[in-house]
Amino acid sequence: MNERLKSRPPVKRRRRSTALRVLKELMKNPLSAVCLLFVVFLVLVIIFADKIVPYELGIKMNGSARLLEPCAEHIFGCDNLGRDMFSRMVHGTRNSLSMGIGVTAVVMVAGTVLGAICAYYGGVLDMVIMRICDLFLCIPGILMALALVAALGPGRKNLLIAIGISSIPGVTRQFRALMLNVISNDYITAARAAGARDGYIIIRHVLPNVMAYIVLTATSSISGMIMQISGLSYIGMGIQHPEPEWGAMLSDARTFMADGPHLMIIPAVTILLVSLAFNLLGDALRDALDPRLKGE
Amino acid sequence: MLKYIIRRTLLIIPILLAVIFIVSFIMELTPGTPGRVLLGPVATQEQVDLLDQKLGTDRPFLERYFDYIKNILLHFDFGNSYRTNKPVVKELLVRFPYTLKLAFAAVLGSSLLGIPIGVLMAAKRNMLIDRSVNILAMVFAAIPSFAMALGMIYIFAVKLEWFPPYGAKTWKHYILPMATLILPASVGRMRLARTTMLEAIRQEYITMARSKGIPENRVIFVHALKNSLIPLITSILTSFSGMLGGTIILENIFGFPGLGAYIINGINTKDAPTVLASTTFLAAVFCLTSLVLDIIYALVDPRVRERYKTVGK
Repeated sequence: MNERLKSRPPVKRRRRSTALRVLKELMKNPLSAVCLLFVVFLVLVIIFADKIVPYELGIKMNGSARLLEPCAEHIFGCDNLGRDMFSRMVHGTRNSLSMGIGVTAVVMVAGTVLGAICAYYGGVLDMVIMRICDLFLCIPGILMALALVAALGPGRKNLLIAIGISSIPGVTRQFRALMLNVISNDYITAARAAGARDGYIIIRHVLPNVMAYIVLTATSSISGMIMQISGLSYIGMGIQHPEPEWGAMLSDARTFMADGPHLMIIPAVTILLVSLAFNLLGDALRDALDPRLKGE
Repeated sequence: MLKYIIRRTLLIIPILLAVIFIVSFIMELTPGTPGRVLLGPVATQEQVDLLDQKLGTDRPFLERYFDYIKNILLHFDFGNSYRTNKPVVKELLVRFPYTLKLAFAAVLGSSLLGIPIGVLMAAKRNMLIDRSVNILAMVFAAIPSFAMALGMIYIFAVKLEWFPPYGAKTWKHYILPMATLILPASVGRMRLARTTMLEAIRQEYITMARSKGIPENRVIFVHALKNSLIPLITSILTSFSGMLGGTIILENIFGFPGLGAYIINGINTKDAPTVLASTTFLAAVFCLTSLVLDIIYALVDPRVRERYKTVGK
């Protein structure tokens, strides 16, 4: 009997990959498939921006091409200083989008860590962190970000810090509530009773159960982050001239609205499409991860 | 209940103190002293030091913080603007009505437009309308307000020349900024009104009311609507404070002389008293709205009121 048990080959546990299942689910719906492909395309643009069109084209001024409408040579036309709009858009996409994705990632990680600490340990630490979050939530996010950028000085890094600090409290609050829910489960008590270390419980038992929601929140907040970044750049608090960025480009376009509407329409439509893609993808992801929430 | 309201109101005070602390700390980090910012890069260091001394900004941070609080409490004095040397409160009270008007009109407009349509959507259940409202909501959620403002200016001010693009002199100046705020908000409100109504209609007391033979219109517009009011009130009040914050960038675009433009101007010129007072003011409005929200909950919903009674004891 004992001999037979030993000789039996270990049963291979089929690991059910959520990521793969969700990906399959997403590709089934044409709309979400298009959004997913669009996002992949955007990521490729970020990576290969220099290969697609040289950065210099979007910086070099050309007096004879001022406000040139889209044509064969300049498919997006030229801006008020005769710079090629296609190059500015490609590199602007790289700037805006990589910042949007980057700041979202930082906010999600910080929110997860703080939320986990609050939810798991509770007590005084939890109370202090939560009260600080409450305080920050009393100041409108955009105002907070504005004041921080003003304090740190405009620029890419400071913009990211400002938006990060102003959005972390809300996310922390949300994730804490989520994890509190998970921690109240019996298997956490069981793991504790079995003597598992805190870090092990958080990483192996708590995180996997909230991961789906974290990914979901991240996807749905990217468009908001992009809007904040371009909004602050619009009023001159973000990326500085002559670097291209969607908000800054729109701000330049304002003066030349009547003569060169394409300067405004191209970045505006791009922001619209990118945000739409991320929002739709977020919705599709929610349906795929949790069918119960469908249609809400 | 009264006890609860008093406790809730008193809680605002430490929050505001902390907000003032955070914001003044952030302003403290800003490079360059106010004297340097005011006099420009040409001024000598002595002139700058002299002005800093006069403004009192060379004293330690905490000392200034407590002074500031003391002045507010004793004289309701929020300091003078570095730029104009006039009391900030006066300026604030001139600016705020513009922002308030805008935010108030936006909340009212989006509610008047959104809620009836949303309720009708729930009552009539038309797939085509549902679909188009959902698509509209998606699109509006994806346009940043400043891009939408630019679009509005391009279409209605530059091309059609119906409304002026800039300023706040006549009622015509209000149309574009208001529309930019109202349109996306009303679509959101429509969806919310629809879901809360549908939720209410699904309840058993609605089936009960129907089976009693109460006319369908009365069932929907009296019985169901009354119960879907609470989420709607929440959304209206929270959107009010959101709108106050949301107008900051919009005012800049439409050249609106409101609080938002004032704050951005203050930040750019490192006019700390201006920024501090405006931020504190906005934060106070936020806290008050959430206080009002809690009280209204209790008034509208007997279930909540009951809970406060037991907590109060």
